[in-house]
Amino acid sequence: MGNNVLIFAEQMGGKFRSVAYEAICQGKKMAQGLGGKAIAVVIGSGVEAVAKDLGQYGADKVIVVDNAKLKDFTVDAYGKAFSEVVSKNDPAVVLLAATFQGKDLGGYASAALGAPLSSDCTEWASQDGGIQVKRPIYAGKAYVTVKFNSQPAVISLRPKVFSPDAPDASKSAEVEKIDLALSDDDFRSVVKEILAKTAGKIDVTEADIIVSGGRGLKGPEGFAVLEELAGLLGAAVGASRTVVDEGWRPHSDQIGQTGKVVSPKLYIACGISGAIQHLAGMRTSKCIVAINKDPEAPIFSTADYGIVGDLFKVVPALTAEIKKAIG
Amino acid sequence: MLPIAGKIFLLVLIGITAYFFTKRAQYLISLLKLGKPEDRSDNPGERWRFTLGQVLTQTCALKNVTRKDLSGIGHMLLFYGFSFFVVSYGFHIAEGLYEKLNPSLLGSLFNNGFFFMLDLAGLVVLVSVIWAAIRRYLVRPERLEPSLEAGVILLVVFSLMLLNFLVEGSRLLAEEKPFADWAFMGSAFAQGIANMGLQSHAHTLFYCFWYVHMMVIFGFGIYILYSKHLHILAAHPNLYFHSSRPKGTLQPIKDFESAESFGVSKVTDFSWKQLLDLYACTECGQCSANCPANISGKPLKPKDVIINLKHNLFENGQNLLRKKEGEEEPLIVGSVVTHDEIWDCTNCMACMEVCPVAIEHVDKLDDMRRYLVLMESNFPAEVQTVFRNMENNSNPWGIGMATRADWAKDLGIKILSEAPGEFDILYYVGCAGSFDDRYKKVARAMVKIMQAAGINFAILGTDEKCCGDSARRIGNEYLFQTMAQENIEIFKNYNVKKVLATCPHGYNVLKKEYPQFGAKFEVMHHTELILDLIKNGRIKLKGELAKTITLHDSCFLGRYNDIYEPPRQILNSIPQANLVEMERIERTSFCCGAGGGRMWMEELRGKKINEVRTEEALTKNPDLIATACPFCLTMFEDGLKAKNADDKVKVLDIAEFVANHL
Repeated sequence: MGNNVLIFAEQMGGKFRSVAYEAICQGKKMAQGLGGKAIAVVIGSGVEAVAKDLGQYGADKVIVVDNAKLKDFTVDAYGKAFSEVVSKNDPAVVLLAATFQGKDLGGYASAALGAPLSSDCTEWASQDGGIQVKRPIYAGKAYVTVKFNSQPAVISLRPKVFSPDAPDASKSAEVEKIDLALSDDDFRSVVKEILAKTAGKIDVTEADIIVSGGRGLKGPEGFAVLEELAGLLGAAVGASRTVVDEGWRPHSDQIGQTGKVVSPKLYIACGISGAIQHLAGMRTSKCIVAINKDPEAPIFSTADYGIVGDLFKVVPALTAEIKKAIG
Repeated sequence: MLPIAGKIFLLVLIGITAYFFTKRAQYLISLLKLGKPEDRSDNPGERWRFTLGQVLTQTCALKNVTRKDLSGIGHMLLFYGFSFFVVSYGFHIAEGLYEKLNPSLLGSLFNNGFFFMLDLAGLVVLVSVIWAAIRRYLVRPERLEPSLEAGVILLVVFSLMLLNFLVEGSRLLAEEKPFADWAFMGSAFAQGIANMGLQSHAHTLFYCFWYVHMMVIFGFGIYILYSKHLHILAAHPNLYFHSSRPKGTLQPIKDFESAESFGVSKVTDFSWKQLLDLYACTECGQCSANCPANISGKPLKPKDVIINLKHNLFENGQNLLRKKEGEEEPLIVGSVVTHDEIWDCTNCMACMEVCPVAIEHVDKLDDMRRYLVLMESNFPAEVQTVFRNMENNSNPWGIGMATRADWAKDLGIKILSEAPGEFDILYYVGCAGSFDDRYKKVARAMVKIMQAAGINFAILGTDEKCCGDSARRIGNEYLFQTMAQENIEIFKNYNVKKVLATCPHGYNVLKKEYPQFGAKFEVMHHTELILDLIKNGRIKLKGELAKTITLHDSCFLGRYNDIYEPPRQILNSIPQANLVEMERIERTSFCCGAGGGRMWMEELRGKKINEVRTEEALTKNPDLIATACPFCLTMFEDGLKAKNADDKVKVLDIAEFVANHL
């Protein structure tokens, strides 16, 4: 029986996603509790060079499966590679992020190895020499605590619940490269093309900060002031339904009942009155700032901070202050 | 009158017609039998009354007569005129077989009167046919299509009238003793024939005309069954088998546990009555002419849905009848009726309201939605959020259910979930009143009115749940029934006898659809209650409102529940209020675009329905637009914003008008 924790470090195009660091930091902590090691697994093409950096986040060892055929994620090939690594290492815990890749791989590995699986976990604890996790059920109405009766326990962590520790540049990890024979049969599906949503633009559902505009912007050109603020904050630009209906912004930016439902850390609503059809799409944001010239606008009853004023004066002033603050 | 050979010819003609008629009729009936069983036999007395009332008084056609569209009068003239002719054909045939069987058998006065009426009827029919031809080929309203079929029918009816006069005319010349004295058209034609110098050939002419006339009559009899004029025969049974469910209710799915498929995806998933609808269609196009989806340029045209289904049934009929057990049947969803058509419908019921022959368009579209939702999970993506929100938090926006009664804090209302107590009326607030900041103002206005009137009312508080109307109309019958049953239990627990609803959707579903699941309570809409309070003097409206107001009829209040007068009377009780009506009001009111679950879907095709309606309202230059429905309120506010008129024109609910003038 092993006591190591094996962590799938998710990457895309040779860059680790933040969920990879989140998983490794938690994996390291689990491994300490179990008295084992944190072993990160990197699968992809041309990923060997970046693999050792994972040591800075707490990985004791990094196993790399580097193969030109593994450039893009497909569940057959990645699943086969990952399951082989898992069965060779016999860990106590297999850790992934509950992303599209992680959910896919977790399920594959669980089935391939006959291992218990608990997905989308939001808490974990060391208990009786093992790991126990908590995960939401019934769409978040209740939580269950899950104990595992056999090894390895396959666990996926809900993204953004755990924050990664700051990297420690003094640390590095030993890198082990594994060669894996892959036949064409391992590629029942092939990635032909990845269509990036408008290059360089942050998708509203993934953004931590959203600057959103409504009819108060008066026209498509009005969004320039929001774009500037958003660029500074690394934020996505969202829009209300009326704005999209008018054709000022693309439908992919629409936030609300019939558009995207978002829950960023900060939502800045500019010139949006806040009808319920819009609130339904953003009211769970952690902090809502409303800028509107109408003090009666319903958005103010939902906002944490409200500014009554002309957004064309307020937003540029805000942008200027932030510029000053970040130098 | 006829030589023996002629009589044999007539008998052969009768035989051939009877053969084709029976064969076609049997085929049509066998196609109906492919449909699912449905009991439409209840209350025969009412069914006869309804059918005869619609047909004999021509209410079916006359109900759609407006100043701009008089075609219903044309239909009435054709109907009465031609009906008289059908009787006369009986006499013609009888006389042909045995000459003593003619109208003079009933006395000469009857005989003369009969032929006078017949000639008059013929004249009326001729005029109506010419009128109809002009409307189809010269000044055609959009709803009509100048089809070849329509042309053939008009030509045949025209020639039938002409032949009748020619038969009469030549007969008057040929026989020594005139068969009738008052056949004025016959006399005129006799004069005409004589003037052409054909008097000596009168006998030959008479026989020629007589045989041709008979052949056209019998040919027409057969043609009816093969053409859109099938409605002449199918409309009557279709009216007889009209839905006896309360108006504006959908049929519940009863066998959730055992059924293997839900909704309609194939022709044979329809009930036989839904198929009879297809035969009955007259292709008059009133449905499409009143459909908000069609008018706003969307793919859905209710007439086309019915006609395409009919053509499909006829094209595939033989195959369907020959189909063996277990063989696949072609889908109609996605091909004959497209997904866009199915999702475009706002369930506003304008099509069914104007349909002269009781076709049930909305039921068909909603049945196909049921298939898409329950069998294929195939629906507009944004609807998924609505279903989930209804399931998790019992409101379409997904706002925490624990906050449902927050709007009522500090209003001094009995909240049953906090402290059960005695009450006369339960105010069912609904999701909009509970969660939408704008519509909360309407809920508060209603509270103010009831408190002013001293009504002992209560709200359920956090025990109140979503009514489920949108779920049902979108096709998620399973979710709807779960919600309905839960609500009924809650109402029972609190011993609710009388319910007040401000939302017409909640009102309709609670009042007319919940009884399908055992609900027993009285339901009223706030416009009904307020009008009562005004009439009984329990509230008095003070102050003046020197403004121009236009009123929008909500479909679920108006067409679904015939509540047209209360909102108007309430507005007229406000001193100085100037109510100006739009063109499309009451039974032909134009939907706001949010019914049938459309509130929760993107409107991707055509113009926005709410903007079309807002434009119509704005032509009246109102200061205020009055509504009595939270969906309509939202749609108008959005419409006014889109038209940049939201600074000038405000939208208020009837309850707000009243609360402002207490």
